Amino acid sequence: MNNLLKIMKYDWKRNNVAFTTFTAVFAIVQLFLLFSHSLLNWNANIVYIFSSVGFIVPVSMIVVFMCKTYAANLSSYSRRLIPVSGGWTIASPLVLGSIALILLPFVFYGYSELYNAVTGSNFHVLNPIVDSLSNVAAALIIYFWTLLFLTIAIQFSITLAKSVSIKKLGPWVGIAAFFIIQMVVSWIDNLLFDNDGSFNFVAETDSAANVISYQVQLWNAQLWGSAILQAVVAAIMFYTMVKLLNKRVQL
Amino acid sequence: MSSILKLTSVSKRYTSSRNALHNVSFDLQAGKVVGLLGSNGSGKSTIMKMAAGLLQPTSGTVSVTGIPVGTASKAVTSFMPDRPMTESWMRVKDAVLFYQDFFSDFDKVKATEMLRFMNVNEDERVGALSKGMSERLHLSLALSRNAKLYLLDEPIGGVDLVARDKILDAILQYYSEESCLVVSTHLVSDIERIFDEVVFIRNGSVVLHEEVETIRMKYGKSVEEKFKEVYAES
Repeated sequence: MNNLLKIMKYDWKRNNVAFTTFTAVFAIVQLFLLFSHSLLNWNANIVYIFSSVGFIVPVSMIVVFMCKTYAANLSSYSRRLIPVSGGWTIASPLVLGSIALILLPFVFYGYSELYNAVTGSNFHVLNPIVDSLSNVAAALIIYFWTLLFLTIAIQFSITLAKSVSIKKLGPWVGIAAFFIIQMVVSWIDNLLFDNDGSFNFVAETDSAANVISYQVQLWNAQLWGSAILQAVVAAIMFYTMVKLLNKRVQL
Repeated sequence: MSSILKLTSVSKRYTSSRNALHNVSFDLQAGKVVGLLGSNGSGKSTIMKMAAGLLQPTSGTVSVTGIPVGTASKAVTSFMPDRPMTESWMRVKDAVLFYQDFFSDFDKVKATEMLRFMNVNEDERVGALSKGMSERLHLSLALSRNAKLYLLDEPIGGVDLVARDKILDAILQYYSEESCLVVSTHLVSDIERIFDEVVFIRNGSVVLHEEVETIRMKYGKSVEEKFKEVYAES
């Protein structure tokens, strides 16, 4: 565990300038959008949609950061020569990225509340999911796990690509591995859990068939079955990566 | 004397057409400064990287102090590679802290002393150092560990004559007698004075493994003369 903290310290130090710069730019853009309604009289609804969609950018950046840091560590003499097991090298960017991924929904929630206060609007971040606290927890877990699984799959593909002795073939093996993993997991998922990804949305309508609210049931067997399947696949990928890093990946 | 680095029937094939090492075996003992000599592309760096745990042999075994090369052997092996061990964002003092964090045998006092001896400023950015100063930094870091095996890959390859002497003096002054120090180079004449024994590598095979004294007594030649003789045949 001590080794993990040390590697995380150096992963953070390597990325902190880029991370701080991005955070500052993102904050300035969001602050501009926050006050655009009162200052420039822009439509509050449209601006809210834009600023909400804008949160996809930091999410994507975090995933890119995790994968880029891992790939850089695989090619770095400074990381490959230290007497630390490959498992910590894999885990370090995952843990750092996970902290940011977990914080981001709370930032988004805070931003929405602030937006409501500044513009006098009444947007709710997770409505209708927010109706139930357990659904909020489920949504956060699904959001987090989906991104983490995606990152582990990319890390696995990078490791596989770097393990191929014929260098030119490596990237193609990695790309093929990524898509094969996604297809196989999806196929087994459908086979075992018949998961259609609908999140069990139920629309509540009035007498004139107008939708008055949605109910979502996130705690359902299909979704959790899929998550468990992905967890098993992630564990296998992690184990294989450690073996490949310790024995096969070469500089 | 105890065995420090042992290669047994090691072969390395990068692609089907290129055999980097072929059936290489040797055993290096503690208390020796060993020259791993050969022309460019002879397989010196491949051996160094295998001993450091960066490359795996296609066949055969590599062990350091009896431990098969891997995570555990990295704790007793200090490698100065041909590429920087530091990261571009670091200052020299950050690189020292990095070594202190990850290598339990790292001696910070020795590092500070060596950096002063080498005229390397601890506040300097690693990325801004010249090639010569960067090699001085990496040599200081590598030799500041109390390791069992030191691997220096072309430590004087890109430095001027004054710096060469300074680096060779530092190697002799700071290297520990209980360990084995392997220096790979093709610049034989400049570095010959520090070797106890030499291993000549040609086209991925060991062609000569002798004590320097034996070469002088048996063949009546210096290492450089023997080197020229062996490589003139190829």
